Amino acid sequence: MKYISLLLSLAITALLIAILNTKIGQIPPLGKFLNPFDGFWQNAQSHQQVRSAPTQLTLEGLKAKVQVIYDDRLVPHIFAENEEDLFFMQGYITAQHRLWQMEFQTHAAAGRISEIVGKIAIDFDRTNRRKGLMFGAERAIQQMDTLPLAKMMLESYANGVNAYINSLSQRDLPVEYKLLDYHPEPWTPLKTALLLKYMANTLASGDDAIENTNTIKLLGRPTFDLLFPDYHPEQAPIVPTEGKWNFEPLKVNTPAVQFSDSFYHTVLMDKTAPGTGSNNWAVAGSKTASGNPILCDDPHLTLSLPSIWYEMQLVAPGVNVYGVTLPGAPNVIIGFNNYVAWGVTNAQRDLVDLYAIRYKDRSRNEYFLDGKWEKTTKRIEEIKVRGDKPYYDTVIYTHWGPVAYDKTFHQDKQHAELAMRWIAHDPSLEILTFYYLNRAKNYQDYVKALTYYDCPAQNFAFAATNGDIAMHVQGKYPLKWREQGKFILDGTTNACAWQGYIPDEHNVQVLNPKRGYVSSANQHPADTLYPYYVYASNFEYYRNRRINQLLDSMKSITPQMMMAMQNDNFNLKAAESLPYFLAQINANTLNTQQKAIYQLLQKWDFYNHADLEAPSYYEAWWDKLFPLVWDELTNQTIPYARPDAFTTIKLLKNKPQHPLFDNKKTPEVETAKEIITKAFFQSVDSINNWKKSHDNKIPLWADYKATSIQHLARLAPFGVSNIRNGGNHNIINATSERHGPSWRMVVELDKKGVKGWGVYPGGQSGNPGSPYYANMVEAWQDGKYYELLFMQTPTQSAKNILFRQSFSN
Amino acid sequence: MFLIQVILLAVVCAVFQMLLPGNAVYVVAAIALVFGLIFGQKPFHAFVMGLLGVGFLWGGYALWLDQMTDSILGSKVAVLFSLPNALTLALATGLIGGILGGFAALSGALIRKLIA
Repeated sequence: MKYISLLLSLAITALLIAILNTKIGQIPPLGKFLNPFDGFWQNAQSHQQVRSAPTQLTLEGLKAKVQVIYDDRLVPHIFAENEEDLFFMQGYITAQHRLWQMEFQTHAAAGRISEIVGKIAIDFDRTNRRKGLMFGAERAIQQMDTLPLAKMMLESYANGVNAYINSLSQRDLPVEYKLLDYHPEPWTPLKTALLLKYMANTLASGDDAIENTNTIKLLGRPTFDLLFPDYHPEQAPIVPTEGKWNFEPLKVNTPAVQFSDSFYHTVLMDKTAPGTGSNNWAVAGSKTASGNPILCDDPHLTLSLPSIWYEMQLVAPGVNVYGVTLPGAPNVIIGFNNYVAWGVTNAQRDLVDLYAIRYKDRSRNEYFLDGKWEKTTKRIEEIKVRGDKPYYDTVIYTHWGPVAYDKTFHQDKQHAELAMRWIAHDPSLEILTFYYLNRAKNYQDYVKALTYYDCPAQNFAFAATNGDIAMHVQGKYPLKWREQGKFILDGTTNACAWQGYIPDEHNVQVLNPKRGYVSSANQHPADTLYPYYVYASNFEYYRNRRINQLLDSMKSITPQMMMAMQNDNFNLKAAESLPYFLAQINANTLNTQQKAIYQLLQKWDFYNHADLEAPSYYEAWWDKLFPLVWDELTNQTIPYARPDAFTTIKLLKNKPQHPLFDNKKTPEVETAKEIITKAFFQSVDSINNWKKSHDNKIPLWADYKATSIQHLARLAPFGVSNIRNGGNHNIINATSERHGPSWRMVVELDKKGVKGWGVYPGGQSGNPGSPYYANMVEAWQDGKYYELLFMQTPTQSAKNILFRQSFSN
Repeated sequence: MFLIQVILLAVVCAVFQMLLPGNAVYVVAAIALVFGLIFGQKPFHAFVMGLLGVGFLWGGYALWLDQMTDSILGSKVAVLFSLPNALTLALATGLIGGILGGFAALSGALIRKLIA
């Protein structure tokens, strides 16, 4: 009996120890996670704890003393005596606030999420490995290793991150590690390269060759061209030039090759999301109240926590720069110094082309190219899977690049072997662009910095205290013949290869234009007279025209006017479409509720303000109309391209009788009028359904849109939901359900002292237990800005300094 | 006497958890077991000592940390565990630690009984 009770008790104890130390399904190891000595409770912080950080610290690896001053939003202002220490401290301080995010994003790029969360992420990991993000990062590192400056930045930064990782005890581990039960690994320069590829994937992986190939086969050339024109004359390009380009363009030969003429039953990989875009503009002193240029930038990305951006000031001999950084990469990415300011938007361009491959046999060891069999190389990707055996995926590499789609991946019925040629796979040195921009003093320095910039292509707006403003549509752009890469290319001949790249001097650019401003919002870089073929699947037509209308009409501009403009909710798409939509409705056929909505929309002034009902009705109407118009291209068994909003509205207005608008499944012949009416009825129903599931709340736009900022690992309580903000896609304030301005910045280039204002939807700390985790969300939601503390000396006093730290070896 | 044993267990557990970070589960189990062995109480008393000693230490300290930080994290993690608030999560923390401490102390007491 004694033995039995003892054995039983010991067994229970042992079992408890095992269970409490083990992650079971989604549940973290409860003993490790909940115990208050080093479990998650220790991650909670009070304001007092943040402020009472030690003032003197020793840090092995530093060459000299470094001072870090935190302001009241926890922005670090780092003063170093040399550049090695500056990058070391950038790495150290960033890791202190964002370690988990830095590593998670690079794990995502490397296709290693299954290691953390298990087999649910295998498809995600395979996708990123098949896109060759690691392949690209490795090639980038090879290139950067040859340059002492790049190597110094990457290694100093990595040393700083590692100094922080090595100082971590279990107690200090970011809460996500505790929850998902794993540990950080050492940081390496390769991880920085992976982060830059992660951004390239976010911004420059848009390609619709598969959809286009299917669509043109379905619809035929004339209808395809009607639905997908390369350019609309109503467009306002980034640089309007009336065809005057002061260079002799390189010749591009159009080979006698056919585009692929078959249907591709391929399940598409994730690519650049449609809500990804941005606004930037700079106004010359001639248009401002003070006579100083003003630069504005708001990059639109998926809204996430921890925030994509981390604010910093970096000071060392030869540099004093303020702005936002990407956790994981050295230098400031968007910001200003004492002489210049710069900001970016995504430059839309087709930088991914797909080539159909023909293998010799099932071994896939050789592929056909210009009459010969070429050898492939195989990269065996070992995807470690938590709680399961590893998953092995063989990715074939050709001279084009990785065969992303093949018989083992994302195929339905037929097999297509599609190799991917992507600019992001090429060796590059973008890191130097930011190094030189951080130190730029004038336009020439900015131009020199941009020569290192390849991918993801960006529209770099620029302004300087000497009065210059400029815009360069910078990137490494392949020289393409007309429509090269718009459809799937023949991978059996090098005649289909890119013939070179557009020289930097031939890229679309402008310095001090007569109109007194430069602007970009993901639209076409130039009109059709630009002598190179320019194509992208996602040009924008509305934000840019609204920006230009406002800037054209403005005089005596102040920074406050620019802040209001970044929060502008005017819906140009609605202004151009709603009156036409309303005119199609026969008001006599409406019931009481429909009539009330109809009248509400008639009176609406087209502003998507948070507390209005009308925008909800308009947007619901559009959301029903669009798939009804393109029913033959929506939710089909194979992927088809769909026209953009601008083309759709133009067709509805100009060709209302077009057979495309007829639903073939019904005996009646529908025209634009019938579809628009039908969509109106459906939208009223969908709003009624929304009301039913929301306690009969009035469908105010902010509630109906329901903007939320999700945690990177989709842990719901670590996100922020129900943000009360207006705007939407195609509006300057591009805040939609999940995307929006990820950093709003306004900089006045005053010679007597550059002044900046900024805000982002998050907080400096990546710790959900910190008071600085999401503390700026409210100001961002309300369209408010913080005046940025741009320090000139470490001893400078300011009323909003939180605490100071000094580090030495 | 019993109360002193409970408090002593809590204090020793606290000290050793700070000295041996990352091993909380092993540390409290080992200490509670040793306490059961040393004091050689009746099995039920040993269990209650472990339950209360570790339970109050974990639950109480968790609650204190939560209060000091206005429940900034406890309230979020509680939602992850489908619990109404941080207080219930702190109670669960105490209960989990307590049960572990209880069974470990019980085992210690039973070993002592066997030896004696």
